[in-house]
Amino acid sequence: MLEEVRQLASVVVAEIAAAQDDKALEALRVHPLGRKSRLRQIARQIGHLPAAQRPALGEATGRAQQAIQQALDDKALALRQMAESASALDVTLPGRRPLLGCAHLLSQLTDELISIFQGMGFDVADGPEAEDEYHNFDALNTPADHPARDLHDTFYLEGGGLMRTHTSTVQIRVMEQTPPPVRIISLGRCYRKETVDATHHFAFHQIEGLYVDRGVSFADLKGTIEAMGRQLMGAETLVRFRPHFFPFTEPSVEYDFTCICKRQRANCSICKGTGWIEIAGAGMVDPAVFTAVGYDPDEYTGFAFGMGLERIAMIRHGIDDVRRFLENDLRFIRQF
Amino acid sequence: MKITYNWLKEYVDFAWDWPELVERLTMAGLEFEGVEDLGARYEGVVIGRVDSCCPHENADRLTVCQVDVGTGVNTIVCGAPNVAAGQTVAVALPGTTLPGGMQIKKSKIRGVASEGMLCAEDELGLGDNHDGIVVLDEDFSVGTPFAAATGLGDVVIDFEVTPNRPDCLSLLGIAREVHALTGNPLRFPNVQVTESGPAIAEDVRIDIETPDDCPRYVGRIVRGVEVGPSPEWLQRRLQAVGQRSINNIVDISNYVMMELGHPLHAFVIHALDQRRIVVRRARAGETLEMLDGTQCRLDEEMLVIADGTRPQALAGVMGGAHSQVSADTTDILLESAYFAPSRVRLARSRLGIFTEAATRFERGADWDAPVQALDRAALLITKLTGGEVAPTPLDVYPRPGQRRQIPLCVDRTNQLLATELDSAAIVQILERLGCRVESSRPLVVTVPSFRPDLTRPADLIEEVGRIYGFDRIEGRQEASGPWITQHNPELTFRQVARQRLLGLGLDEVVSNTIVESRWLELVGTADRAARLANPPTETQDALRTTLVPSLLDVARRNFNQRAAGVAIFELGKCFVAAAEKGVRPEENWHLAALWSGRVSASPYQADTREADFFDLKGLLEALVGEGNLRFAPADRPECRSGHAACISLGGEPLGWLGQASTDLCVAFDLERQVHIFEISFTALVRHWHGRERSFTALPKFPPIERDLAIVVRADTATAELIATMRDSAPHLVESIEVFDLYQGDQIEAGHKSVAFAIRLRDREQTLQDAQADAATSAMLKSLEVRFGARLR
Repeated sequence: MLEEVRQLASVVVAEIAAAQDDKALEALRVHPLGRKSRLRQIARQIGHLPAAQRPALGEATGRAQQAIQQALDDKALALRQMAESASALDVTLPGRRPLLGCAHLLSQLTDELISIFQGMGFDVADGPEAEDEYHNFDALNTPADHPARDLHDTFYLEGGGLMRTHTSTVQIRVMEQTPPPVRIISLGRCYRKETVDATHHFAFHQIEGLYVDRGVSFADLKGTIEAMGRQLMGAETLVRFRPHFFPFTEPSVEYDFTCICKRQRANCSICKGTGWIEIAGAGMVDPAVFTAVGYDPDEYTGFAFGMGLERIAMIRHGIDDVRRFLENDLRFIRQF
Repeated sequence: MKITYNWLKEYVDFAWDWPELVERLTMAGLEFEGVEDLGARYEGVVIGRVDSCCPHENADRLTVCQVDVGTGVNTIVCGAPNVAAGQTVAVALPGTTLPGGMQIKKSKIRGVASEGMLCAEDELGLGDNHDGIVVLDEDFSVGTPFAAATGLGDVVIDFEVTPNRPDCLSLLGIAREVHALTGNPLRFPNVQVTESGPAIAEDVRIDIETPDDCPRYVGRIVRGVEVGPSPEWLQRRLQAVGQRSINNIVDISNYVMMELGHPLHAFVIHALDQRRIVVRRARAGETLEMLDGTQCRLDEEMLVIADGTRPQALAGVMGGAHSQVSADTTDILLESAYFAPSRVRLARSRLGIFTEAATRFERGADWDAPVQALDRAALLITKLTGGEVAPTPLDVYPRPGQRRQIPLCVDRTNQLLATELDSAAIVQILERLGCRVESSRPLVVTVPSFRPDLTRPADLIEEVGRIYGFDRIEGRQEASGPWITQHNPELTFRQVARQRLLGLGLDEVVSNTIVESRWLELVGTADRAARLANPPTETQDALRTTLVPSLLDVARRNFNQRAAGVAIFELGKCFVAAAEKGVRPEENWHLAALWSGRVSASPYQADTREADFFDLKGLLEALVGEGNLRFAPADRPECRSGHAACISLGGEPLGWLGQASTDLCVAFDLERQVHIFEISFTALVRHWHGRERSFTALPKFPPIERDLAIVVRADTATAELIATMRDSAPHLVESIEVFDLYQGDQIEAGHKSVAFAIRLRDREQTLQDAQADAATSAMLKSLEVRFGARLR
């Protein structure tokens, strides 16, 4: 009987190991361990055996039951794992992506500049794009036969008025409405009658800055532009100021940022190896402008600056053609 | 303005090489435009000495020369008849490309190895002569580069001169800037003329009819000139700075203009009727044939230089053909005048003529320079062409110029520039710029005649800052305050709207505000559009009244690039022409969105249907958020009939939503359904800004949910069904949502089935089933009464 128990155990364990699915396994569980099973029958007979044989047979049936139970558990686990691995996800399949729009690069830059200048205490002002001669030229110290008008090829409106050629018009509109001190930026579209090519468009965007108070000096202008340069182009950015001419500032300067090539490439396509990129114009507000808006030029001084958004974006992102901005090819827009 | 490095050195000394010169002048306000190294074309050409010559064994006309080129002695086979031992020559070494394009290589010429070439004039691009090699001055040292030895290695530098600085449109003017920066003395060119022959007054008479237009007119006569080509150095210089050589007289006047900045003109005396010069306004109907052969119609606002009967030149702009210098000219009248800038500018711009002279006069020439310029030209003419200068210039000067005096406060200067300059330092800078300064308080500064831009203290402060160097001023990083930025709701809501729409999956576009009129005609708003008098292109001539055509155009572009779907918005300004003349167009912020094509971003297991009306409507509802947003059926010219709605928000008109009409889609080559909304952003901001945002207590008692499906006529507006249901149980209805809509075989024709999910709640106590049932029955009853609805 002892031998039978051992035989039985090894046969059942082998059958369990061979089971292919949960159903087969369940049948095997009932058959060897159930009440009517041969193993139970033997176990029930142990009491009728001579005392000397009982311990050995008892131990053998116990071990057989244990072995079978162990085999059943192992197999159940193995089958579950098999089943799970059969239904495993291909985690490399694409996700179901909801649409997420992409902001236009010019808007992104606008938001960034607003944030930079709000951090420096500048308010944001708005002004009309369809302007009059007075706000675009005369009040900005550019009378009718001034040669500087040649610098701006202007779009005129039927029935009078023009499309502003710069955001400097907002300086005038703000100062007309607000007594000093004034510290504002204004962002928006400007228009010049240019032939459209890779570097020119008749419509472009500018940021304008104006700060007027008692005692504002050229050092304030430099500090502000330097702070903007560092935030826009990186902490190591240096700024240089070259004398220039604008009718509405005196002194007038153009400012350059150090090139992103860090003067490492003699043939840098952006700075042509000079290490400097021409950015835009600035200066101390011309006394004639103060007079035009009714500020006392002896009491107040101020600075103003401008900058083209497309130019900055082109430099920062290596964009080759200014026409990309208003073309709205989504493959362009989604790159940023 | 082009200058050459060597030419500039004639007027002032400086120790800078050309890149440093450029750097210094750039930082003083002359913007660097470009450089041309004239010596670069002679790269590889060196000075050599012919040690010996012997005839070539296999060729009669060739000579085999041993030439010392500094680095060694080269054997060079030469075909020139004039080659001889002992000559100093220009040797093009192997590997050189000559200005004419000829490439020099090591080669065998009839069996003899030749290492280089002895150059003739034409091969060096110096002239047409090919009779023999160029024999140079024997002082040149062997081995030095040809360009450096001969001075042909000059560098042309191009500067952009701002319109306020006419004085910098000359070599002398730029030399003055170098003088101001270095303090090195300025050398004014020789203007000492020897006069002979009859006095000028015996030959011509000069009258100025309008002295305000021409405050000064000076003439000089040179008799017996011999017109011909200019000497090479003169031609080369003019060519270097971008001037074409014409003949020696014209070239000299151009040379003096480039040198001193003052434009001159030469008339042939015998071509002047009555030997008179009359500076006057043109008469109506007068015409003038210009030097360049064009015929100009003059008007009474243009200033001319006339003789006794007719115009001979357009004052300050260009001379006339009739009295121009030609090969047989002997006696000339040189003109050197000062014309009013605005008068020159007017004629120049009306006739569309750009000349070097006009550029200088309209920006403001030096009223004190005419005599010097005249004498300089007369001197060069007598030197280069012979002839004699008649005694004394005839200087008609009805409006003498005055050097301006400007007070300048030292403290004010330092305050504005953030500098700490003492009075002496400021005086030194101004004096080097040609000012006279009285060291009083304030300083009294007398500005030079060649600086028309210096009129006020601010102008002088700029000069001080410019020459002192803006880069030496330290930028200030702290601001005086306190400064508090104002809350700007319009700006904030612009950012909110954009962020929401981006989050809802629309891409942002920024399109042109100047659009084609045809586009506006398509949407029926062309009559309200403001138009440009001088548009960028013939068709693109209107300011947009709406964003819709622009979005359609963007959709077309992107579908052409095979986009599967286009979902875009623009937040931008639109314009409406004012009814009255001279009033600016009205500018309004519009917000528009367009959705067309596939709704989903990726095709994998996703919704691949095409966007429809309710996709865009839902998106607009999500954008606007809570609020009384109403949609009513509308007829719009740009929309498909029955597929458009006008939108109101809190009772205020907001805009419209609809499917673009077939005509509109065809006009923009769009093949798929296109849905658009356009709203007034100002109205939306007003709503958002005015919205109450106070807290409502969260409900304490549970809701009861009921579904109700009814059948009504198909043309019944769902919004009215919901409103009726709400009104039937106003205090209990929390929400009513449509969850199913059915039209088809299961119900009678011309009807639809609508299913609602109703949520009821009593805010004061737990709602009982019986109450909910009663409320639902009341709703059904009202629907039956008002719409003939029946339960499905």
